[in-house]
Amino acid sequence: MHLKLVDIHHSFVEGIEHAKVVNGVNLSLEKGEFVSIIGPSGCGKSTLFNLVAGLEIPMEGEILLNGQSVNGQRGHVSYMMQKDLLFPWKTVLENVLLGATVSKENVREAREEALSLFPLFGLEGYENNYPTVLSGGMKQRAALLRTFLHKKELLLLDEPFGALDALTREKMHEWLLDIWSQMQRSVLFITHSIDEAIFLSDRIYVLTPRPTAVLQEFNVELARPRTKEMTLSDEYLELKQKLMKALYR
Amino acid sequence: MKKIHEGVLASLPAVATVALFLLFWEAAVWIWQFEKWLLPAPTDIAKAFVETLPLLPDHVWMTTLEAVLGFLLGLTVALLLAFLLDFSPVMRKSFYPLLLFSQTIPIVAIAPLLIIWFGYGILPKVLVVALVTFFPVVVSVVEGLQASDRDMIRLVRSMGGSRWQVFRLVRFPNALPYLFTGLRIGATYSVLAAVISEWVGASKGLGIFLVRAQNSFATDKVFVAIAIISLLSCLLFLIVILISRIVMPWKYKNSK
Repeated sequence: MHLKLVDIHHSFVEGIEHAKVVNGVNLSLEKGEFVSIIGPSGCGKSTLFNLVAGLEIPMEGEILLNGQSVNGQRGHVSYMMQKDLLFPWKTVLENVLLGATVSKENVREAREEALSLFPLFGLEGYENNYPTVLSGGMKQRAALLRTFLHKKELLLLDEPFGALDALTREKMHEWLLDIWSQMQRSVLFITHSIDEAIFLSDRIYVLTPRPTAVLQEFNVELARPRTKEMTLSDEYLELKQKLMKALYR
Repeated sequence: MKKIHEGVLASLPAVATVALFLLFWEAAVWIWQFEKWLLPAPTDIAKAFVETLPLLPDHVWMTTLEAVLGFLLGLTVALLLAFLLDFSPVMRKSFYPLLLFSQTIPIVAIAPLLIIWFGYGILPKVLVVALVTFFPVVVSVVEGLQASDRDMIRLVRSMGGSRWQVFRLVRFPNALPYLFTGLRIGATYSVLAAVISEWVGASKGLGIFLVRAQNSFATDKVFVAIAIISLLSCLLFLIVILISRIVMPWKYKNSK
C-alpha cells in the first residue's frame, strides 16, 4: 500500500461562485505508517479525506493508490468520519458489519471475526444492543471497529476522538496504538490537537488555512511503543514547540 | 406481571373519569327526565346494544372489511408513489404540488361520483378509504426518505455502496418512523371514511346502520353505532402501533 496525493486542487461550487478549498496539496503515506494531518479548523482537511475516499472528485491533480489513479473511485479506503454515525436501527454487531454487508463479503465469516474483536474494542456484552445504550467512548470504539472491519489497507480517521473528554481521549490513544500495532494498517489521521498528533504519529503534516496546502512536514522520532512518560521528554517538547510555531505563526 | 399491574394502575384515573362521566349522564337523564329520542341514558344504550347484537356482526364486518382493504390499497399505492417521487427529482417537482393540491378536494364529495362509476358494492367504499388514507402516508414517507442523515449516506457510499444499498441500509430504515406516523393517521381516518362512504349508498355497514337509526329516531342505536365506530378506530390504531413495535424494535427496546 502506498498513497500519494499529487498537486491536488479543489473548489466548492455554489451557483457561479467558486470557493477554493484545496490549493495544491502534496502528501504521501507508506505501508504501515501512521500519519497525522493537523491544521486550523475549517481549512479543508475533511475535504481532503472526501477526495481520497472518492466522495468528491478533485478538480486538478492525482490521487495515486499503489501508483494507480483513484480519482473519484469509491470503496478502496476505510473511512471514519467525525460523528460516530452508528445506525440507530441496527444492533452494535450489525453496525460493525456494515462494511461486509456493503461489499457483499461472506457475512458469516465477518461476523465471527467481529465477535472475536469485541473484547479488544471493549464492547463485549453489547453485541445485540442498540447503539443508544453505549457511552460516548464506546460509540467511538464501535465506529472504529466498523472502520477496521471494512478491511481496507488504508484507514482515514477524521478526528475520531474530537467529541470525547480529555481522560477518555487519552485512554483511546493508547488503545488505538495498541490495535494499530496488532493490525498493521496504514492510517491517515486528522486532528486539531498537537499532542494527539505527536503521540500517535510517525509523521505530521501541518496545513495552512483555507485554501489549504501543506505548510510543513515533521518527523516524529519517538520510539514505539509510545508511553505517557514520553510526553514529558525534551524531544517531545521540542517538537511540540515547532508545531505550535508552525500552527500559530 | 409487574408491567401489567403498572399499566392498570396508570390507566386508573382515566377509567375513573369515564365511569364518573357515565354516572353523571345517567343521573342527569333521570333527574331532568329527557325524552329517550333526545338523549338516552347509558343504560338505555346498553339495552339497545344487547337488542341489536344479532344484527351488528354483519355491519361491523362490512365496515371493517372496507376500512382494512382500503387502508391496505392506499398504503400500497402510497409506498410505490413515495419511492417513485423519491427516486426522481423531476417527478417530485412535477407531482408533489399536484398531490398537495388534490387534498383540497373533499373526498366525501367524490363518494357519489365513485358510486355512479362503480355501483353500490364494496369497491367504491374501498376506493374512498384508499384515497383518504393514501395522502398522509405518501407525504410522511417522502419526507422521511428525504430527511436521511447525509453523512450516513456518505459513509455507505465511501464503502463503495450502490444507490440501492444506500436506500436499503440508510434511507428506508430512516423513513420507517415517518411511515408509521402516516399510518397512525391513516388508520384513524380509514374507519371514518368507510362510514361516510356508506352514507351515500350501501346495504350493509355501520354507516348505513347509523343512517337507519337516525331516520327512525332510534337515538339509542345511534349511540351504539358511534361507540362501535370509535372502538373500531381504536382497534385499528392499536394494531398499527403493535406492528410498528415489531418492525422498529430499536424505538422501544435496548437490545434485539
